[in-house]
Amino acid sequence: MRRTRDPRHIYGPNLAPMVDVVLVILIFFMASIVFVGPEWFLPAAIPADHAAETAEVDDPYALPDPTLSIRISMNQNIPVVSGLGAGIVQLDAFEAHAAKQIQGIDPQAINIRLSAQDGVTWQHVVTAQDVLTRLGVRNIALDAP
Amino acid sequence: MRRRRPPSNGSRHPNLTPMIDVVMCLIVFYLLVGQLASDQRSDLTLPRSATGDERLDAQAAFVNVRLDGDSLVVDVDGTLVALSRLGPTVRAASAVHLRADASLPYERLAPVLGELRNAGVRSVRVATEQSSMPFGGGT
Repeated sequence: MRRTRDPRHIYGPNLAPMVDVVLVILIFFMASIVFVGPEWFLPAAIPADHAAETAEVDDPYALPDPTLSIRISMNQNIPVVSGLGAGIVQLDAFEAHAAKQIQGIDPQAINIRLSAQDGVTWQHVVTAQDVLTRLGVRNIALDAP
Repeated sequence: MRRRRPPSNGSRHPNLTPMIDVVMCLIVFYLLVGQLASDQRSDLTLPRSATGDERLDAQAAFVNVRLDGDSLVVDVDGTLVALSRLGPTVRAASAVHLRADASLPYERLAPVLGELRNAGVRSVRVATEQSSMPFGGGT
């Protein structure tokens, strides 16, 4: 049966599908911005070159560097950490180990210099940094050649 | 007092034009924001961390580091730079946000840190992806 037009009304194009599509696009962009969002930052120092400093400051009475050096290396494809207390611990157990070692010390007074041997990934270094940050250590430096 | 009905143009549908205007503006806004964000944030898999802060410095330089095959690719705010030009490129920035791929070997990233240090950069802000799991959701 053919529908008859009501002569009292102007029939424009149906905008409902366009509005549907536009809203879907809008939701897509809003969601993608949310997914891009969860990024945050860990502060890290880049220490000065020790060799250059030694050449400039030739002070025989200079105090030893109070910075603790923590080294990350790979042992049979497992990341291990050394330098904080005795022994070598796996990165997975580093938090408990580090918490024990710095017990009773103001963590903000500790300077840590992180270095890594070949094969260690950036994720491993960031994980160690993350652990130390959680323990309250604020002065963390990344070793650079 | 009874409200007088606005003069009808003959359509019984609600007027969708203002809504479409607003929605189009929002889409343009998100397109622009998405474009700006992608300029600064290369397509990287960031390392995960359970700590960090979300403060963003508007004048900071985003240094993105990743491996393309065996070659190291460094870009600053979306513009590729040679490693030797990294220092002069970021020198004017108020801060450096370091975004490096999680799987990047540290020995490949260390020269980037060395270049930054030689340019007078004494600290960086390491970009990570938020993780609620301890140890960044696995090492």
